[in-house]
Amino acid sequence: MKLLAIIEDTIRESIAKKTMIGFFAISNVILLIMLLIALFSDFDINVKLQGMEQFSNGASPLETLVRTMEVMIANLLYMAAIFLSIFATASIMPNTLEKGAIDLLLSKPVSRSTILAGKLIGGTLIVFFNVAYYIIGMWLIISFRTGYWDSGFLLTIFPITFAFVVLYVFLLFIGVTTRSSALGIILTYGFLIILAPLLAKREVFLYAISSSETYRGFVDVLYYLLPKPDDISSLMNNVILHSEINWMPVWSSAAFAGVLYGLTQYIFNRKDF
Amino acid sequence: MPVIIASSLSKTYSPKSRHAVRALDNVSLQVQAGEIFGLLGPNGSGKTTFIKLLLGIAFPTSGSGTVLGEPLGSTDVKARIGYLPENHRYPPYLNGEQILRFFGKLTGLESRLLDRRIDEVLKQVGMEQWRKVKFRKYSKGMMQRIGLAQALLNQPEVIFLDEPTDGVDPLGRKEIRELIKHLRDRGTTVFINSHLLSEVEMISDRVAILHKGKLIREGTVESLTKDGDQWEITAHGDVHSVQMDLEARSIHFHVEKERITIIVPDLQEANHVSDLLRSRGLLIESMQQKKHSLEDFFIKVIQDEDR
Repeated sequence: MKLLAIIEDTIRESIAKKTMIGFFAISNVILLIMLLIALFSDFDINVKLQGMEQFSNGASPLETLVRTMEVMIANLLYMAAIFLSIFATASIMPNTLEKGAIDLLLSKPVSRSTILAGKLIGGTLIVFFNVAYYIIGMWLIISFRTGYWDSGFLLTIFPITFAFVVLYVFLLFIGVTTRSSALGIILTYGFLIILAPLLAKREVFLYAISSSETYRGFVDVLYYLLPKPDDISSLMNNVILHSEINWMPVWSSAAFAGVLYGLTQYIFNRKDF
Repeated sequence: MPVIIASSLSKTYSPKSRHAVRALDNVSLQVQAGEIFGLLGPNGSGKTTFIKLLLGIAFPTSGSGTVLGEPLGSTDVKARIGYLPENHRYPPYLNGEQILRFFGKLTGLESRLLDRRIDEVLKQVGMEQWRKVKFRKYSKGMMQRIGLAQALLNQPEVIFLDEPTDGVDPLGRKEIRELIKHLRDRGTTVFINSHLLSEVEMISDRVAILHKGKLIREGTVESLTKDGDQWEITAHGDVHSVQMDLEARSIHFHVEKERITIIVPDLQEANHVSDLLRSRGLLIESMQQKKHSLEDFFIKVIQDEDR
């Protein structure tokens, strides 16, 4: 009940912030536009796709078209959802730790681990619902319009939410150690925009800097230690395309999040307020 | 029976840094069940840190203590405690009732009991009509009242109030004082941190003074404010008829028109002087043991410590 109360409060706090409402509103606008296109476009998609078999590598042209559309939509959403969600949730922990707020929480019979878990689960749930709402809405529109029903696109809810959770744990860590939401946003965006893509394509970019084995070893260690949002995005595409999935980015990112969460908890348990 | 025991509690913030701050220095005190205990001290004297250590919000560098028989920071004992922090910050997106519901759930109150307690405490602090208004729209006094309601929700055995009347108007302050006395009468132990010494004097059974993290005085309000054994007599009438006698006995007095105020060193002398006044036809208005106000006493001891 205490954990639920903190989760509920975290969700309320997120809703009270305009960013999450903005995210939800943008989702609705895009869904509405897609719905209007689906309702009022009067071409027969099967007729349009006749003769396109040579471009679809053995799959039906409709299947290829739908999956390509879904990959594009999922990738757009992946970046937009993660960027907006980080912005919306970065202040959750610093706000909780503000003088006058944390004193009240800690004066109640609630453990510090429950408080941290409530913040993690609450922030994750609000992002999960937003992403699920958009993906399910988009999936229904595309499937109704094309007549091609494939659950692969629905499963992208999980990699998107997972990528957010890993970064959210990092935000919690920064929040607990520095109580700064601005620093959390800067570091997370910096990682997402600069470091993560460079590490994902390290053979192309980073290996070119030096041929030293030590340097390349260091780059590899960084790659395996840190979360892999770019690789999770590729995994998401493979889920939609029903291609083979490499799970390494998932378990290594989960390990990073797990260790960092444990460290955050350790620091939080010993911190004076 | 003591419900709060602090044994040599010390707290140093950032102990390994150049900017280490010794907020509390070897503080030992006990608070008995059912009393109103006032902790006084200038800003930065360690009052809030002391409460934070008792509640497990901060951890002592050394020393130990118990609250309601449980070691400091025990999670379970917090269900029996109420706390109104200074500069409390409630979620601004919630209304008064939602705030109470949230903190009631955290305290572990069962749903039906919580509904009843919310009604009761809102009534107690005079906030019934504002229960559906968002917290961000509250005045400072209303925020303080909701904070107080939150601290009372679980019918605590011990309640910690850090500047409870901060920002509250005089009428509201009186109501809060009455509420605190009512809590004491019901057996609740009340621990108050306050700058408003006159208020603490009015309601506290015992007080302690912290200065630069050290406990420098502790006792009942009466024992601390008593000015030795001196007595003060006020009378009016033909004041000139007694002036010569008083001067002859080296007794201090002050005359203002028809009224004389006399300070005597002890009760026996007070009786002699009152006999003299009556024999000269003066009417005695009052005769009482001379006291400092708590504020006078507080300022004096702080100045003495700083010398």
